[in-house]
Amino acid sequence: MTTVRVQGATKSFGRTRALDCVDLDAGPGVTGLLGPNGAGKTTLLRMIATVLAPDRGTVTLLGRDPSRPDDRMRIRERLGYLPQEAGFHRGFTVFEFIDYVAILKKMTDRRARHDEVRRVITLAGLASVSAKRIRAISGGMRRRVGLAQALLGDPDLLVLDEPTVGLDPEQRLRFREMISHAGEGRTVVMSSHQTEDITALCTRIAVIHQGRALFTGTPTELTAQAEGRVWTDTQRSPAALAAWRTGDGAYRNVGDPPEGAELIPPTLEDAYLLLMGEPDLEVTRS
Amino acid sequence: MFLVVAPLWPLAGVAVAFAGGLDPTREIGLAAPYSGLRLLLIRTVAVLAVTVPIVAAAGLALPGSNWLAAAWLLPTAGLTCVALALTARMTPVVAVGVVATAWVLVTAPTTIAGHLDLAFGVGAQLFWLAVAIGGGTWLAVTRNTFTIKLGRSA
Repeated sequence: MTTVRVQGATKSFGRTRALDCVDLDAGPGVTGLLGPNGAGKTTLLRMIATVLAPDRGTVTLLGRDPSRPDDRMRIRERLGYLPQEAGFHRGFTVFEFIDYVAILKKMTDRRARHDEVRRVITLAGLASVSAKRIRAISGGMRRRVGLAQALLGDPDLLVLDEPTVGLDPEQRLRFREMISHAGEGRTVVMSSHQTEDITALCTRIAVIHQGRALFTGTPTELTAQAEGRVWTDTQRSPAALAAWRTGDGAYRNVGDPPEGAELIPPTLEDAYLLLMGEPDLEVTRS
Repeated sequence: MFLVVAPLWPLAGVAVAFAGGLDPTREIGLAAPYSGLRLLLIRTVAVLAVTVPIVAAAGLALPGSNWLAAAWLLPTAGLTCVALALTARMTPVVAVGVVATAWVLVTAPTTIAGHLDLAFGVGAQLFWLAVAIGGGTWLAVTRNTFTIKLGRSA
């Protein structure tokens, strides 16, 4: 079942073409958009969140056309959205802020709305800080507040823009758990430039670069593209597109291997690097 | 000049209420099913509830005729309705800018020339009353299809 269908979406801001004829299909489960900063991920997600209209191409969400005002409202009733830079009224308590968003989501019955606010607060692990002002909680907690508001009304489509950015490793794991849970039975489209998050969560991915979709498919399919192109050596190979020293002192090389190279299984990160064609990457891992 | 400047304060408030950088939850609000027009009207009423009494009090404090304290009210209502109606074609900030500029260009020379009656007399008041009623009616009729232009939004 396809919940999100983007066909030939093109969007320009002035002379900058942010998206160039992008196609994307997404159904239940977590679909990830992977790409460097400025690749066009946010522009695509804003289209899927009905916030932005394409200059050309079509977007179909939950079987409806967001360019039609009536359809757009129906989609928004079933949509949860966490923007990349979710802003907050910092003087509000966590409860008040989520309650405010619930009002924007047309939850008019006060008692039912408050029950729903309490439900998402519990779901996001915010119960202990629900009475605290947003300015008094940590960045990680604020990110959870952002996710909690997106979960209001148990939406069928969840759009998350860089949900794990700025989180420490433990918070990222907890967030992954929440997103994974959210992806059970509903469609989640999320962006990230963290290949670990994509590997851990996504059943399908699209790699976006300079406004174009370079790859769409499963993480396994993308990883398979790097098969036979990753090897270890005692030094950085001149043939490598990217190479870095690993904890055991050996160099992990990604690119076109020389004859007799000691090939190793690739990761999604390797395949991503190859796809991006990063020319001058040399990182030392200790 | 008070009468020329007075309607600009409530209009500026309406613009500020929808200026992108001042609403931290704007992006979340854009994706919410809440009617943009309804939100616009709620914020406009909130802005007018604060600014109108302040400007009215300032008018009462000024020397001269008492009608000065009230003669800007109908123009303010008319200008606000025109600005709201224009948000279907341009962003609220631009709409307010267009309306405010037109207002100043028309009324400032008239006032400076001493023709206060022309700009704020009974005829002008009736005109602004008609504009306010017409604009309000148009907003009410188009409320289900009305889409506010909010910059880079759908």
